[in-house]
Amino acid sequence: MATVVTKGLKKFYGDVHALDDVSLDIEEGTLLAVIGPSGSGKTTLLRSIAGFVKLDAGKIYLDGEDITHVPPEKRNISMFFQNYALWPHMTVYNNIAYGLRLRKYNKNEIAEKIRWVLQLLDIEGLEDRKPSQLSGGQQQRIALARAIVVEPKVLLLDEPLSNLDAKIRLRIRFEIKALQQKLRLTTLYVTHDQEEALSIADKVAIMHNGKILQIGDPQEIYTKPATLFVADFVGTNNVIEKKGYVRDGVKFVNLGKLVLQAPPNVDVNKVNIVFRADEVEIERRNEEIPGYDYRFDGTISGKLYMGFKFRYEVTVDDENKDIKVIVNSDKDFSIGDKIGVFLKKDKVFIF
Amino acid sequence: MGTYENKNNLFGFLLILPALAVLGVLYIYPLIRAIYISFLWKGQLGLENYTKAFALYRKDIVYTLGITAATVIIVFAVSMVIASYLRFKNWKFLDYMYRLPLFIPFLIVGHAMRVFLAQHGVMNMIISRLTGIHRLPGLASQWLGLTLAFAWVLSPFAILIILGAFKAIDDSYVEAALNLGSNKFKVIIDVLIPLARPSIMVALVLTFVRTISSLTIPLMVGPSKPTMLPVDMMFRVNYYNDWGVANALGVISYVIVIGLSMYYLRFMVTERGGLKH
Ligand SMILES: Nc1ncnc2c1ncn2[C@@H]1O[C@H](COP(=O)(O)OP(=O)(O)O)[C@@H](O)[C@H]1O
Ligand SMILES: [Mg+2]
Repeated sequence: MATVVTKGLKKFYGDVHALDDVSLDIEEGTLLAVIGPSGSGKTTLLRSIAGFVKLDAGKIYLDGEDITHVPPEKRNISMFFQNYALWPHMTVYNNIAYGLRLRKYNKNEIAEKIRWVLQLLDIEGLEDRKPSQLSGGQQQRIALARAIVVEPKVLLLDEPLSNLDAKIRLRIRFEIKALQQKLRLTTLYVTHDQEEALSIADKVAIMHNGKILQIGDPQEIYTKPATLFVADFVGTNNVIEKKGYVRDGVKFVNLGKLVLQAPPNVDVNKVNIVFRADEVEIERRNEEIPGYDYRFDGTISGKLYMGFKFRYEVTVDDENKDIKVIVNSDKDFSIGDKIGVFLKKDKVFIF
Repeated sequence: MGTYENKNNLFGFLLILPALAVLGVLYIYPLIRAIYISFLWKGQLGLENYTKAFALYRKDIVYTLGITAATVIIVFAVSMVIASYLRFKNWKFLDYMYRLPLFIPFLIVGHAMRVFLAQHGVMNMIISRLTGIHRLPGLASQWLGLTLAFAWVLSPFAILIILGAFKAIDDSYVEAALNLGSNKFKVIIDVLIPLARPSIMVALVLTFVRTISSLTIPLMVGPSKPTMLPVDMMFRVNYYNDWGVANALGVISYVIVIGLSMYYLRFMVTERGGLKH
């Protein structure tokens, strides 16, 4: 297993900056998840590391060796394709054996390795089928088997769970994590699902318009988002844009009766208040909840039953009557109820 | 539900009726007539036309099959190389050049090839310049010249079909192979050709049929003896007014083509069946 370092990768398609100065490290045996919305450049980053993108600038190092101009077939970096890319004219066995045959293993070694990987991924007995005779979940595992059986230096996964049912997805998430740890695979995992990334990764990078906005361990990304985009992208969020003001050289922004101090670098004409629907509490207007730092008032204007919780839409008592926020709570209120919304200082982000 | 489907079927049938009618008038009727005439000898049914055809033209039948097979092999090789190249590399010049013969009538192609392949023609001039060898045979009246002429005219069709099929194969199939350590040449063999096999078969069958049924090119290029069956048929009609033997030769060509088509259809059925469930 190996370490991957990219330095200042750039790739432009006309005006589109698919990669815009992307620098990151993947430490040996760890899993780096890259998240970002569709079109942010995740696949391009992956394909660059695999060697399929002719970069406009930047360098890629594998174990300290410059591999920027090494052709894909000489990198020993395995890629898992979003559409699986299993060859339809070959059996499962031949699909998995393909990379092994190119590595000149003999027949017995190949059979042995395939037995090992099929057992590891719990897909024995499918060897003689064609990919079209498999379920989506089985195809996904075969593609994974084909990628890891050659013992690559790095494993690249492009949205490996995106074509699966929500239920299987959750289970396979655990399995991929366990597999990656067991084999100590240096892994780059691309997804647009922030929850998936946070739960599986050793480190998370957030990508947007070809740029890495923040890179850190999952807790850090979640609790200390560096930019409005990161804060908004991670978790179910409320983003309230308001005009702030300056008093005695300090910037402030109001939300109803609540006065919040803004960091010095914000644009007072456009202050964003961000907090997560799960990190606030609500109570009847005349009650208080101890242990909370902030409070603003509002009226319940919408209610959804979520099974384990209620999801409320709260219209904030503010000079701007259009401000609505989403709050998840297990308390039962009715539409029209006047309530207070309680927040903790470190759960409110101002950009 | 049932009536709806019936109505739909009827409507569908009406839609293809004109095409069926054209097919019947222009293809099936002449075919049946040709078969009928080929068995007609002095007003009676019999095998005499065939006996005569085999006695006079056995050599030409073999020659026709040989030229056709050689053309198919050369077209296959050329189209594989060019289609593979253009699948990976975008070379505009080649992309236009290979299509050139598509827009030139066979008659002119035949004439051009005659000039190109003549003893003091363009090809020999170039080879002489390059190698310094001056006494080169002219290919224009040899079987090799004829095969080259066919290959030049028919390759563009084959390349067009095969390149289309190659381009329709998703890049991820190619990249998956490269990713696992394959080189481009192996990708062509292991991925592109197997996935494009039905289209390659179509291209080769088309090449075969067009070669075996071509009249213009063997009239202008290649030896006058032996010659290809369509030329013999023309002579049979023009000089001897012998429709019986001419049609017998035609039916023999048909049988060869039908034999090939059967093989092709069987291949398609197993291919489809293999891909399905
Ligand atoms: N081969 C290409 N040609 C032109 N534009 C491309 C190509 N590949 C990617 N792009 C563009 O680059 C941007 C990033 O694409 P991609 O890396 O696929 O994003 P993601 O995987 O995050 O959805 C997109 O705007 C996409 O349209
Ligand atoms: Mg993508």
